[in-house]
Amino acid sequence: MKTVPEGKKGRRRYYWILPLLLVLTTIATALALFWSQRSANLSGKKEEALKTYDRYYAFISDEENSSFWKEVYEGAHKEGEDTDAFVEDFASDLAVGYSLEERIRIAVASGVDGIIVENVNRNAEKNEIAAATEAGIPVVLVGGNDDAGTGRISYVGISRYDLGGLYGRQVVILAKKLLNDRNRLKITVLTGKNADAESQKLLISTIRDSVSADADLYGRIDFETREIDDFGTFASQRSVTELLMDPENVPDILVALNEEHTNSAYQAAVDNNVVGQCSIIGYYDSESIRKAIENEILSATITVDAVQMGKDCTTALNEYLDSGYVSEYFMADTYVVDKETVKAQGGEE
Amino acid sequence: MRLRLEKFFSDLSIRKKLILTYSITAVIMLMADLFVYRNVYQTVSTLDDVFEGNISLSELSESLDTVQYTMTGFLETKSTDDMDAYYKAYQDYSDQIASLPYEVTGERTVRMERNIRMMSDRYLEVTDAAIEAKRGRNIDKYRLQYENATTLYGYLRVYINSLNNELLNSNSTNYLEMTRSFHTVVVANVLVFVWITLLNILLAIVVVRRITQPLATLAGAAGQVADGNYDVVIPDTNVKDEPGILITAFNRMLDSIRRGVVTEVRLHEAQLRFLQAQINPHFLFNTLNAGAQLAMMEDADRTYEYIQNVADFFRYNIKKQDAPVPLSDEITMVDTYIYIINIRFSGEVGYEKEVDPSLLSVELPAMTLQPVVENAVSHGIRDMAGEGVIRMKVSGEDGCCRIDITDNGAGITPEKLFEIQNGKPSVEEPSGEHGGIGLQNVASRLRLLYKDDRVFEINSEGLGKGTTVTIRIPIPVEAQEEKDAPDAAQITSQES
Repeated sequence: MKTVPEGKKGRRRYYWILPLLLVLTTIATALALFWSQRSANLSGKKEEALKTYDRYYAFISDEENSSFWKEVYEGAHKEGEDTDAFVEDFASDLAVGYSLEERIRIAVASGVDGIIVENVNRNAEKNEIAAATEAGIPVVLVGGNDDAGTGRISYVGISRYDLGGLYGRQVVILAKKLLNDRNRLKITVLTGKNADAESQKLLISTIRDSVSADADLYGRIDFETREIDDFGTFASQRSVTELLMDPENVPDILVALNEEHTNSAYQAAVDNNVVGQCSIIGYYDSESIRKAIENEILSATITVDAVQMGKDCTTALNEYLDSGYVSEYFMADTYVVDKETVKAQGGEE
Repeated sequence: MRLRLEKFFSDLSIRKKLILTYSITAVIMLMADLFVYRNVYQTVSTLDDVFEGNISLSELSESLDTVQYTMTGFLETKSTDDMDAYYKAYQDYSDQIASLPYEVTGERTVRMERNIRMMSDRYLEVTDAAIEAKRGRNIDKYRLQYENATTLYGYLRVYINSLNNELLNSNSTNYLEMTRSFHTVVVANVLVFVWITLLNILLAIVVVRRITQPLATLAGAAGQVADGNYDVVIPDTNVKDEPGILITAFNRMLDSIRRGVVTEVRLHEAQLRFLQAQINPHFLFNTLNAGAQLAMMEDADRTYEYIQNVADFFRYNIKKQDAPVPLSDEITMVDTYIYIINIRFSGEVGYEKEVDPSLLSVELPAMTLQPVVENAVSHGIRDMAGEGVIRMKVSGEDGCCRIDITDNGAGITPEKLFEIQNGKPSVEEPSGEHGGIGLQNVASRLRLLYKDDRVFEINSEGLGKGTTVTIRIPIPVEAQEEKDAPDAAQITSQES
């Protein structure tokens, strides 16, 4: 008795094709679904940024494109992040470019919790600060000079006297060094037409006092100021170039009191081939300035801790809103960066 | 679990299997459709959302313009229509800015929306103040408020435009990302359909194979059986669907066929043996006739009579067994048998009979009574110590001819009797010494012919208490009427 085989097994040899196709399609489908889901998630990444903040501060500066003010803003913003406050570079990149005063007005209309504003010492600015104060919005002044009459709650800045003293000491050190080869020295301090006149005056007088007070330099220094045209593109560079192109008037020591003048001075020195002939003491600390010091185009630069200034602004607003009181002044640290400092810090890095 | 599911599916009827398979396939396709629809809907919704913000801002800007325009109109004309238009514009604008957020977030566009809302609140306060001042005819105040409102209106326009540009830039980037994402979704959807289709095809193949394979096996086996090969066996699947039932039935049918074939062969052999057995009585009958004639010529009357009886016995014996004969012939055959037995065993068997003559014409199958009597002789009285007697009584009973054949011999034990009564042949079923028919054979033939179990009964009160065999032959109605006509006399005889 024999058993009947179940079906014709010979036909089964092609049956593996379908399961194989099924497996391949399953893998392809899973991958496609994974990618489509991933794309959908990437499109929805906006959700992640929607962290809410307790406070909203407007940061308003006339020179927000300068490295110095960028650092100040970053310091303020960073401190805000740490204290549940959002500090915004306010109304700086709208379709229309507004003045500092208009931006204060927009900030007031927007109901921000506080305003950090660069003191440019204009009457219009004072009016807007007063309007903000009247609307119950605390204002912190930063940079320039303090102006307690505006109703600001606090001032964050640099002590012009300290800064002038630091400049003066550097000028004296450099002058003594140069006087080893020369009998007289000409020191020119660049001033800005657009800058706060009082600040400049205080700085210059402090530098002058430092130089005058040194017995070794007595009667051997010609001290002058040179006003630089700050309006228009490349205007300051043109003014400095004009100064350095005149062989009779090329100063032995050129002192720049802001970042823009510093950049213009060392560019002009390189362009006019007066490097070594004219020693430059600059202001502010940036990558390009450090490079210039390293290449001995700049003798030294005087700088302030801009990040700390920014942090102090936010701290002042937080303290005021928390307690109703805050310190009237926050003074930033100032220091000298010369070739040794750059080398030492470069080595550390 | 898998085995239980497989068993569940296997036991379903083909109709249910097909319905279930089509349903599963349809559900899978429906799910795939829903999945694809969900993907497409999500993608389209996201694409819609991308530019929804721009559309809303354009509407917001238009509403703002309307507020400013209607406010200016009222300040210029102080007409009721302008005032109504202003309040309507005011309401529309308020409703629109209500959806803007108050919260400050890290997202620039959201902060801009928040600033727009705050400035708008302030703007509406100022426009309201200007309207009130105009209605109060306070020229200085409404001029001042108008200027303030116009300044704020300018800021708001710039903010809305800036936000619009910002969103447009961001949305353009998002749109490109989403377009790419959409292409991926389309590919994924196509692959899902291909996958589902392959899955369904595989499912259909598996199910159809499961249904048709047993049928194909069955068809193959049936083909072999048609070719005369009865040795085919399909492994029993223990499955309760139609093919499973068919296979079980097929196997049982094959088994029956095989048994039938064996029976047929044996029957054929039996027929051959039967024909052989028929030849012998003919030869014996002729031989005995010759012997009888010889005895008559030699005047040996007793020998002649004996041989003649033996010849009669065998002549009757070779008749066709199923042919009906009158009861009288059967009784004569019993008489002849008793005569032969008594000659053979020197008159040891007593024989008594009580016959209703009206029943002598009742027909019954040939060779019915003689095997019963032979059985009584062989098993009942042959080996008994005293005189063995066989009594035969023929009487009418309820339209039947009742024949009782009783012996006073060995009897039957209750157990054996039970087995015989229930149709089980005794262990050693005797066949007649003459190669004739056994008692069980008689019983079977009668029951088969008259389709009544009561036609043949055997009873015994136990060992040593004799045995009675009762045969009830139904009398046809016409024979019954004939029987009732003459007043029949009882025939009683006693032989020894």
